[in-house]
Amino acid sequence: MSVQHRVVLTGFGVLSSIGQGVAEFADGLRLGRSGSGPITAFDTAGFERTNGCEVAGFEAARWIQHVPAEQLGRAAQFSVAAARMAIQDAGLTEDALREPLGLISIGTTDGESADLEFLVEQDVRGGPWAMDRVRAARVSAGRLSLEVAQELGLSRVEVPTIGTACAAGNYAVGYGFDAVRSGEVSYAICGGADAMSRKTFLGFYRLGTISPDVPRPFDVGREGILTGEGAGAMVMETLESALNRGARIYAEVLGYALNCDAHHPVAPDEASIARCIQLALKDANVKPSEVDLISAHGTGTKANDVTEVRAIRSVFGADTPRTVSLKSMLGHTMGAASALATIASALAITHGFIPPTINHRETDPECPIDCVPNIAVPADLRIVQNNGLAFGGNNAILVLGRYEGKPR
Amino acid sequence: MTAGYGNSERVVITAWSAISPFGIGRSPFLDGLRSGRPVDAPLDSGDWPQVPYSRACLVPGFVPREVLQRKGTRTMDRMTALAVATVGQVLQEDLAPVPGQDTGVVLAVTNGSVESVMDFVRTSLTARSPLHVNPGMAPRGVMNYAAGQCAIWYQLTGPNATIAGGRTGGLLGLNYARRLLTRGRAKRVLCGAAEEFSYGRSWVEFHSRDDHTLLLGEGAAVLSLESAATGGPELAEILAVESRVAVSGDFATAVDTSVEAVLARCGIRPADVWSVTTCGSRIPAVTDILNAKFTPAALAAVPSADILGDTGAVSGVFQIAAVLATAEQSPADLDRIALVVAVERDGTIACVALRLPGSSTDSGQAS
Repeated sequence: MSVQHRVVLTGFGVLSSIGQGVAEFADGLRLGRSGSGPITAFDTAGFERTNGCEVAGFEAARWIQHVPAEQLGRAAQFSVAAARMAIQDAGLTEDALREPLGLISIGTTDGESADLEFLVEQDVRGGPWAMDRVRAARVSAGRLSLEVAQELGLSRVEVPTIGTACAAGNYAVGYGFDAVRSGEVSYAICGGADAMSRKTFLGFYRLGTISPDVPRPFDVGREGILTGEGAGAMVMETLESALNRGARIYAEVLGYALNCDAHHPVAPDEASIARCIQLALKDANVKPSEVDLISAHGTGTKANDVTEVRAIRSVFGADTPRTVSLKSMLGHTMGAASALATIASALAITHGFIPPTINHRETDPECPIDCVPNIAVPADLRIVQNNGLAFGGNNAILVLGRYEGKPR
Repeated sequence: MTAGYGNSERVVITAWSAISPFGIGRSPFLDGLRSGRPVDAPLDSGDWPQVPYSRACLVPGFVPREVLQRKGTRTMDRMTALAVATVGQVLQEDLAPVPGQDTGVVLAVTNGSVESVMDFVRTSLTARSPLHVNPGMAPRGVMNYAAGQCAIWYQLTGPNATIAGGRTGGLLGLNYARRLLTRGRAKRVLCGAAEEFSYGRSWVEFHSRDDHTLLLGEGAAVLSLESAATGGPELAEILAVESRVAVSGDFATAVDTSVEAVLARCGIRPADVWSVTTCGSRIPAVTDILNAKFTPAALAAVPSADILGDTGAVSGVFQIAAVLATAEQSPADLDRIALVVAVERDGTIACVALRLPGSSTDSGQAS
């Protein structure tokens, strides 16, 4: 491990239920906007709870210029559009990215499972010969990363899609960090993307975890999540490269950690999450007392919130920093969730505020934290920790820092 | 030659196993590869009443409950059972065990078990109420279910990742695992891939292909990777992995530049290469480039794992297993270099260079 470049975030692309593009997203976070509303992506007849957090008014053609639209499912349209936004936001052109080696890694829970669901509907109605060839040809989850390269015309890139469910965004950002830090690639475009999925809605519904109205993380009256959709993509590069080209630096990636509970397919494990936090802080060379804010996984289910808060408190004790759930605003955007939360954390550092946990009425005594209820607060943030936890006991925790010249 | 990543830690393969259409485990794989016996067979119309193919390459006699011999296989999809069983075999092969908390799992998939996803949705669409599905079946419809189950089954609490990259997924996963090790995030990574034959996958594949000559296959293969410093047996060293995108279908440039980049990272010429094999999709432009670049002897040194059918994400790992098996069966005095080139017709190429240590080489040292 001889080479250790510092890695910074210099461009963001966002598609979310509370705003598209960095500026709208930052406004939404500051205003505590809610992305909740009735689901339109699929038929909810027969379900009593029918809300979700959808991206309204997405104009694929505005961002996707080269790859034919029918070649992309909605999730790949999201990843490609968010990636193009991110390089524009970074002040880069695709021409500048053609020569250097790069990594494009998008995390996802469901890939194009909405297309698979459509094929099943066709099968049920007309038998398997009736399945649509165009949709069948685009369901491979690897295309979420690959099509970014096709759209931008980038050949000298590695394009792994990371399918580690609801922590996949942090996995992808972590992978970008390792690849850029070692100098093996010059830049990375990383993040997460997922589209509304009937399968995911149904799965969470039958596990009894869908909220009747809105998500209320850490609230004594919480009733579950809303499934959501969206994408977050970011440009990662070495500090040297960012300084040389005079790029705006949103934040520095200080480190991350991955571990696995190896315990239960869906129930989170307190000790294992605590260990992941400790590994991440160690990787980032940060002491618990230096963390100013935690962006929690914070789904708004009792199983998650209580376990996650206990894990956090076991590491931070009485000094537990303010701990917010962006899913109160965005819903659970699956593979996009921790990527959007990474972007939100960096925007919080850049603009000096803490996004609130909205829909909050009364904090659960079993979640003794300051979740910054309902209204954003100004704050001077130097270090933010972003938690991503997934089914399968897959934990991924990222640590961001304000860029401050001298290395930590 | 040297590992192509500066001073970073050398990463080596210390054990492997495969559950393939040749049979369950390493020895049927070795025997099957040596004999080159075809493994495609007619599909039993009772078991597979409505699939678009009449033949496929299935793993013979793979019954999860019998192979895994434990409770908990009832809700497991076939792909997960293949992955869990293969990881178990590698753990048995591994002579120098590493603690579970230092052991990671990296599993390459195409979409996970598409049958699990489709079956769950189909049940909801056809039941009297859309809610009449078994909630216990929800988790297996998520892509990382198999990797998570591998961890649960064997108490592996290190990094656990699922990599989706179609037919290049196996090599993209290998590079992911290599970086976990060189960055010190794990001491051992069980790195492999799994794919199942199913109604759902057969129809998705059928509708997305024009060329049906390569029959569908299934199986799982897993390599145990460690930093050389850990001191385990060294079956092969991962010298370099390079990947390129065939922008707008330009596979010729993508394969040429990925292979050249691997050779450059290792400081070798095409003439130094003992074996070159391809796996995944068959693209004529790829074959043409490799035929022009390498000797006929190199192109024929290791059999193609295509004999196992189109095994999707597993194809790259099966091909690496074929290299390891061939090297084991025909030992050499000197080190040999093998390249495996994985091709995904969606537009990705990945190439790995392996060093197979010769019997006269001190196994801990690259020459």
